[in-house]
Amino acid sequence: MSDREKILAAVREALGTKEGAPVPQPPPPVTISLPLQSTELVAHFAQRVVAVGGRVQRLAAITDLLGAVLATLHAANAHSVVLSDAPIVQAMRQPLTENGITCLRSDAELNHLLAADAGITTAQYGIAETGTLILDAGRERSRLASLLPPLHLCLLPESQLLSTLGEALRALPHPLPYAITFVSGPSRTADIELQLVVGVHGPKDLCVLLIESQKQH
Amino acid sequence: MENFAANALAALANPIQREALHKATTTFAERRLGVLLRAPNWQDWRTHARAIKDHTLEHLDYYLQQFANNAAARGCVVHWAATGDDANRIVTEITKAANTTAAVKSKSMTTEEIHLNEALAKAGVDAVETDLGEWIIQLAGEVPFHIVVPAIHKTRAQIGQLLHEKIGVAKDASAAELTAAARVVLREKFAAAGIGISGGNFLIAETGSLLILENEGNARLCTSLPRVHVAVVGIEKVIPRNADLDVFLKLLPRSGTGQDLTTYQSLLTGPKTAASHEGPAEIHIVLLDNGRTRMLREPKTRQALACIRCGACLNACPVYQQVGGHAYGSVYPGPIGAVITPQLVSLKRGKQLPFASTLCGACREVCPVKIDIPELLLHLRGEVLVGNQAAKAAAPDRLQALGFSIWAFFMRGKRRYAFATTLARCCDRMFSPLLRHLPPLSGWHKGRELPRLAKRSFRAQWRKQG
Ligand code: SF4
Repeated sequence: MSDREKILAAVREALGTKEGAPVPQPPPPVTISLPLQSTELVAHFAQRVVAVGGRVQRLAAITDLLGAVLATLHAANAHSVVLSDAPIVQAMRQPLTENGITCLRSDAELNHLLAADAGITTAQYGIAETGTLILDAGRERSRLASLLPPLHLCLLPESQLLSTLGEALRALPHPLPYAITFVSGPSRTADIELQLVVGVHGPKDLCVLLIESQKQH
Repeated sequence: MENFAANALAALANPIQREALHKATTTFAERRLGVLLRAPNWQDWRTHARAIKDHTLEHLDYYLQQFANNAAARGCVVHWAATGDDANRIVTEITKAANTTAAVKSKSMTTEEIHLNEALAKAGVDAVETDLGEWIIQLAGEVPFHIVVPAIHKTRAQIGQLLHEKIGVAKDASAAELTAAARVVLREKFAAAGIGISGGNFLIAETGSLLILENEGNARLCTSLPRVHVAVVGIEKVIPRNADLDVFLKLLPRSGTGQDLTTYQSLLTGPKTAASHEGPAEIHIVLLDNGRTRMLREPKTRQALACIRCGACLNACPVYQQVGGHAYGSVYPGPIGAVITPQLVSLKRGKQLPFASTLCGACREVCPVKIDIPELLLHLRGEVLVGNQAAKAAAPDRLQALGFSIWAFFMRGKRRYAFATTLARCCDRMFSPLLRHLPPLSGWHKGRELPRLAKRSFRAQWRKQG
């Protein structure tokens, strides 16, 4: 008997069941939290992001994006950035370079990535209930750009905001991509005397740039 | 060793540790209450979560197979380990095949349970803990004090001294400076590691996915930088559907650290499939039994397998609050540790643990999956006593029997009773200080104060009033 069969047999023996015994439906999923009004989404999301230690900046139009990114990078004294492969992020490569910022691809050598000052990605969804960003690695090379540098700049169109975690779980693609990361605020620890310290292993600064939807065109 | 009584006494004599423990348990308990105020459906969530766990455990063979098949279909290698030794051997072989001696680990109670680090060290693999608290514990050569915050018993000064000796930071460094120094050292470890080792909070049967919760980002690093990722996960961690995560993600962080959600959740489904992907090329999932199928046998003990390791019962427990995690002498401390250690390790070695509780019920009250820990402790006490009965039958307790007949004699008449209480009052006044140093009272007295009798009995006072 293989180890798999041995353990499964032990489980069946303990439960007193046989292989192939019918399995009833699991308890039906319940609505765990009620959706927010669509008009509240942005305010609630922003409030939650701030509550978990992140920052939010609302941009009236996509044309404001470059200016906002540059201002944030300058304020953080960031000279090198890792760019994800999302088109909207890649479109900033040239103007950023022209402004004296060194731009790295997210598949650059690891020691270059480790030395970068900031990372720029988009998020596929935001969850208003918890101020959470959802990064889908199947859609964008965002895993390392959002994790290694001390500053993570994340672009999110407001149209991608969802109300609750339950809604977000339903919105995930089928089949699931190989990695999805939920991000709520900067990396944190309280392992030394319960004192909150941000930036322990991941970014210490998370800045979400929300792009207003109605003015996108 | 699981010698609770001796360990507890040592812990009680350590004022620094008690201070830290008090701060930690009360802070977490208060934060938990704070977030609960914003969760009006809390009781419904608990009921729903428990129903999902009960259902999955009742059909565990089905869901394990479903999980294993789906994970394999997505390119994971699924291993089955009946014992901790089996799991250690499997992980050691994977590191050999990966041709590496450098491993980074994210926090996992399951790998603590099977002592994976020691097994890897024997095979020449350097497994570095990367969760800040776990790393501190590893440098100090200790075991976790708390399942959520492992180094909570250490002061900043003690950690400063330790890191001063190990990596040369200034002794008086602040928490932020110590953390920053750790980041630098551990980044090098991440960059050099050939293998990342993690546990897992949930296995999702319908998709073959693994979900890991964390705050620091080290689990993200462990599961995205090294070429190979191994997750060691207990078989009880499987849940049916992705949608079920909703309720568990509501309950777990709120119960554990009082957060609405931990900073990161990684939902991992198979290794990377394209050259452009960022992530491990190989993912191994080791499904661990190690005594769990034994706990599955009876519905009563089965419920302990619903535990999601949030740590709320530790923070709520008046015994843990006083003695802390090391007193339990086991990997899993606190009320849930007292329940699962004797069952995972063996009733013989963990037999003191079911008695290390006042049965006050605080743990049952806070448990997000409604595990009736006091009921389980009573059940295990029964088992321990049954084990002791053979010895008892050989030597019945004559002294106890005599004591009870004397008691019965004096309780049988008003005069006798009055005489007995007067006598007791005299003895109390004259011999009390002496009595507490003589057996059998001396043993009882170690942890308690014998109350003095009132100067005049209730009956005497009543007579005077009337
Ligand atoms: S027994 Fe309940 S309260 Fe204790 S760690 Fe497990 S889930 Fe949390």
